[in-house]
Amino acid sequence: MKTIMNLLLLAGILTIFGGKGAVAEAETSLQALINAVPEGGTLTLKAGTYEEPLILKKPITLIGEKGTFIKACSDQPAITITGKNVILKGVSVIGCRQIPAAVTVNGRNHHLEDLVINSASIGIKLESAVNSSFKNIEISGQGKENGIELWESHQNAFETITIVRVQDGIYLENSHNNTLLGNHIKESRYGIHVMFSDHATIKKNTSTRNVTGAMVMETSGSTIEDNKFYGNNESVNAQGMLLFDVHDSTIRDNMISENRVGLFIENSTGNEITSNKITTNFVGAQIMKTAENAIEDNAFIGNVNHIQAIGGMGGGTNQIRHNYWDSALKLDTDGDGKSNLPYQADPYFLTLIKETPEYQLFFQHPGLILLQKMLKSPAGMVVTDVAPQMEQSTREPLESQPSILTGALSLVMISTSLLIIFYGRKQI
Amino acid sequence: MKKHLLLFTIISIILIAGCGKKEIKPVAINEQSDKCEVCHMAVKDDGFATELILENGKALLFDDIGCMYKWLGENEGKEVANSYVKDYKSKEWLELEKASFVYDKPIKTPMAYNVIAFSDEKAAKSFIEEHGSGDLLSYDKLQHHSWERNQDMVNEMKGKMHGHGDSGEMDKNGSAEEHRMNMDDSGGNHDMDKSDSGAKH
Repeated sequence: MKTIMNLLLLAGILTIFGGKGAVAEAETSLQALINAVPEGGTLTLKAGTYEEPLILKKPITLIGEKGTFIKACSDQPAITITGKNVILKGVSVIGCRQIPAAVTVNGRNHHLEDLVINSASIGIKLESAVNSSFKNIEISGQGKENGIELWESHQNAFETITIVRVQDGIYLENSHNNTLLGNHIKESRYGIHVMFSDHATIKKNTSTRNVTGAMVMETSGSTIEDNKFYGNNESVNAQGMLLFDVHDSTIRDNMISENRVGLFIENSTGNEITSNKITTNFVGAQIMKTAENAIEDNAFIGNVNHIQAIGGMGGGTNQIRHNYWDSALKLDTDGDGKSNLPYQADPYFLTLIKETPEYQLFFQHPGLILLQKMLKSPAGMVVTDVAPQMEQSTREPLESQPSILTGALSLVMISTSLLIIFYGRKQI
Repeated sequence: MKKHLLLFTIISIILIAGCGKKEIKPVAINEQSDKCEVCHMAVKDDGFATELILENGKALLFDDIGCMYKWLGENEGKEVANSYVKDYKSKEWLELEKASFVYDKPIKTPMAYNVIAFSDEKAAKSFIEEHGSGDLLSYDKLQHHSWERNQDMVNEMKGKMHGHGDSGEMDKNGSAEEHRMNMDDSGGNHDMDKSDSGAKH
């Protein structure tokens, strides 16, 4: 039986590699060849452009040689994957706006790797897809549709995917237990957009030059860790990360820099927001109607406004402590590394410009600073860190750690300079 | 002469009074900068957007009519001059009070409130006919709409299930969760099919 299978496979591959005539045949009836591959078999496509929509519904492997293009511009997706255990590798997909998506995935245990998708439509659309993995994929669009969309799709993994110029990079709706690892999204509306999806793991992703790095809405039990959300600052609504209706989730070790608002939190409870580095944003963190979150051990450095609470804290309180605030007055009398002076942030100016944006003209105006001191905001709106850190304690990125090699190199350079000076002086 | 003066005064008063009255008009949506006042998502110039014009002239935009009703519920003291909704078909602004509405769970709206607006009852009815299902709501009926989203029901049900001592482990599995909700729903009024709670973007 195994021999027959091997023979069939060989025959399939030979048909495609068997000279010009075979290639021409492949161009016109690739679907027929796919249908002929037995379950568990592999079909390797010779480089070229195949202009027909493909349907992969059996557990087969389809591999494209370098330079294999699938082009589609009908009412069908370029590639439709359904059933289970389909493997698709090394193919470039070119789609147009008419197609519902460049690639649609349904079913379970599929694996897509080394793909390049260039389409004005949705890049990859998952509907009721389970346990599938997506790796090393490049998606570029025209800013109107989402890069990857998940609907009712659970336990999928997305790794090292680059997405550029789409609406939302990766959009999850009613899709649980998905993992996004090491993806890079730029020049889009929202880098990562989570809606009604629980237990998402979002790690080591980079989202930059988008309207919002990560728009995390209506989720619980998720982990957002070690991501970089930076340079999201060109839109008036730009944010590093927005958490809206997020509950019992962990947000830690993220780098949130150079955004208009770094971290925006609303209607969220029970989250642990720790060890994040929130630097050089206009507003570091903005908190609205949230309670029972732990905001601890974060570093707030170089933000115009470090933190503010607008609209009160919804009756509850957040545990805000042990953060590092570079602009805070600090005094540690008992040597525990924590300042005895609480850090307080008054949202007076930001509350004022929310009602009347024209007051932004008076930013840092001495009169306004005086008014802020005279008319203090209500206690519920002032954010207080009861015991700020004296020193910044969040982990530094590895590349900035001084290494032994750098030290040795510095020593050699200093010694050489001293020798030159010493002998140079002697000659004079 | 006196007559002329009287006429001039009357005309002036009418003119001044006329100028003083602001004409309220809906403000066009700028997709680049407008965001929903409640959920903060970008507002698209589509058939789901709504708008409130406050007495002070400020326009508040919403990406979903449900978000607008949430804002109204939380800001009862604010004086609203007029409210507008987009016609689902023509994408033109309609006065909220003059529109007819359709609620149906399979209708995907940005924040899953599943309500859309039409210029009149006839258009709403023809949508229901084409769509195959849906509840027709007049403006008055809309005031009593629950604005409960499918996801709210899901959360509510989760809470109930935790209350009954279920382990959290099952919650981690989406399909297990769905299966359980369908089972628990058998006695309730709500259809817990999560597949209907989608939003369109």
